[in-house]
Amino acid sequence: MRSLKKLFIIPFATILLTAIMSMSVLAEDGIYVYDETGYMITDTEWYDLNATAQRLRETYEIGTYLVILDDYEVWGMGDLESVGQYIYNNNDFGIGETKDGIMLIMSMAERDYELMVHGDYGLYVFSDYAMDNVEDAFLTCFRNDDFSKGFIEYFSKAEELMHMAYNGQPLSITTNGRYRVLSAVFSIVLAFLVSALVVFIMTRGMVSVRKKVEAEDYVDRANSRISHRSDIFTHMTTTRHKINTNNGSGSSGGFRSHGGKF
Amino acid sequence: MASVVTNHKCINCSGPLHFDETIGKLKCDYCDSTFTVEEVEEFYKDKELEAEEAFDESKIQSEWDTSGIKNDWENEGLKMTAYSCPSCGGEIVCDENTAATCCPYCGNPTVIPGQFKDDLKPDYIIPFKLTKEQAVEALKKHYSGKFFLNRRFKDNNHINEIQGLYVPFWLYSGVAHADMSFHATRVMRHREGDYEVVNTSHYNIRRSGELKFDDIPADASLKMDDDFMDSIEPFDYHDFKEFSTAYMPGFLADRYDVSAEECSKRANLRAANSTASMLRDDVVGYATVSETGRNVNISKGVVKYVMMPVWILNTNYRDKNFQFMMNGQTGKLVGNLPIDWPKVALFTVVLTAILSCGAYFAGIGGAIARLFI
Repeated sequence: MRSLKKLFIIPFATILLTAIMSMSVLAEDGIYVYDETGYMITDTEWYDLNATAQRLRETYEIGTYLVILDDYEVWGMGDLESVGQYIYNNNDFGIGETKDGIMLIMSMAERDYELMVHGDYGLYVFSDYAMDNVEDAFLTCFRNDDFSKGFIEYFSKAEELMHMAYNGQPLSITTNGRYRVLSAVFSIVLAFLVSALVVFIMTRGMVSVRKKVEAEDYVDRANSRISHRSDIFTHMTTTRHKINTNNGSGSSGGFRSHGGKF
Repeated sequence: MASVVTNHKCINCSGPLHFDETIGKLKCDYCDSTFTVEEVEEFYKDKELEAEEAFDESKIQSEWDTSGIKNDWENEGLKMTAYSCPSCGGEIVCDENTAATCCPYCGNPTVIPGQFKDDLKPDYIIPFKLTKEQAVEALKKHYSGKFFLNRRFKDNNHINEIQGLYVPFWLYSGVAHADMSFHATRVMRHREGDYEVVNTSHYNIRRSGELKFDDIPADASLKMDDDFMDSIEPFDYHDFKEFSTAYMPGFLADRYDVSAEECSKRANLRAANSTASMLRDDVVGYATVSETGRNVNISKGVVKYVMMPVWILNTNYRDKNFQFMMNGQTGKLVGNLPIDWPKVALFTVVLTAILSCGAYFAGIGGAIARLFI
């Protein structure tokens, strides 16, 4: 594997500048796989994965990228998604006018990942559901620390989805049989609840005999009063719960992103 | 022996008189002469006094001798009373609490003044303001706009019986004193890094107060359904008149057969609930409030005995009797209508089918399904 270690050095300004310069160079050379750590991918694996990415680019005209960082926080951009966008945009990733591509970026320090898709055609090929499928393919392997297999699964699944879209049938949740059934069931249940509510309101007017439990019509408010009020603080209870940041998804800057921890 | 009942007859032609709601006077069925309540009271004052005295004397004698037919009548027979109509001599058999009726033979409106004697005399009466015809019209209006009412019920509807009835009520005035305690919380949230911190402040709340009530009604008749009587409230007490039997001709009336003490439980409960609501509504500014204790005392105040007008309409549909009651003063009509359940089922199915298609193609069902995939 071509060593990228010397291309990423501390401090931040140097890293950033160097990263930009070096990754620009590398992008032009047809490099699709970047391992900052130097230990995640062997040389052989790198060649195989990069060749696959090259083939996918030529066949389906979508860039397929894998970027592995030591620690995204060194970039000082707040989150991995921002770092990923920066790398993608500033290294001329993506094919065509809208820079179509898919990128898996990982940060090994805290085991964070972002799966990002860009470009009109890229977003067409990789819907939210399709991205879920790609995530499912590599996450299981990553969580078992089988990164080699995970990288292969990533490219393999991406290729499968590109092929489907190439044949005019991009993977969409609407093609999922279970989704269709559940969608119909929930539509019926929701419709029934609304209908029941309408019927309840319409029949309520037919039942007009009701027992009275209060006497609001007979209250002499002028001669009524509240004579005593006391509100006494007794104690405070505190609870803390972790905000679930796993598997968040969203869109910004022309990207569709799914991310979380592995 | 003097008659225990009186017929209010026209001073001019001796025709039967009835109270005309539209003019607030008594009107002769034959010659259309009209008389004020005061005029009729004055004219029949002596006769009513005689009837009241005769009522006390004849009360025991007028009971049915049920020794021969006890197996058929049993307890019902013991509650019946018979009077002799002063106009035609016919026997008027009625409930022991009946105070106004009409003779089944000659049709003359009949009042039994003895039912209103001394302590039994109501304090006030609200005269009928709405006529029988208006009651029927109100019933027809009650049917309208009810999509789930069977059309045959409306089309074939025949009102079997319409009765104008003065219903005895107890009116309760007093003061409710309440002392209530609550547990309440206020919640503040903030974020600390990857954690959400929720601080919940707990409070012991206490509220005390008093609520003054004027004239909470409770019907004093066992025959009248309490829920119906609650439903036709409220009556406008500004129309109260000093009680006079002259308002009765043409209507039925019963004296009370449920004591003020017994009826007070219903009134007390309503007063207590209203007081509790007032105190509960004063506890504001908290995320949650739950009641932890309640102590309500009702100071016994004034109780009035009054008669209030109710139109009762009975109709028959599919061998079932449906009763409607209308407030004879305000026109509020209540009564449960039969629901056409097959129509409800069909409507539900059709609406569900239409809405489910809409929800499916609009993606609403899909949005929910995504949560499970």
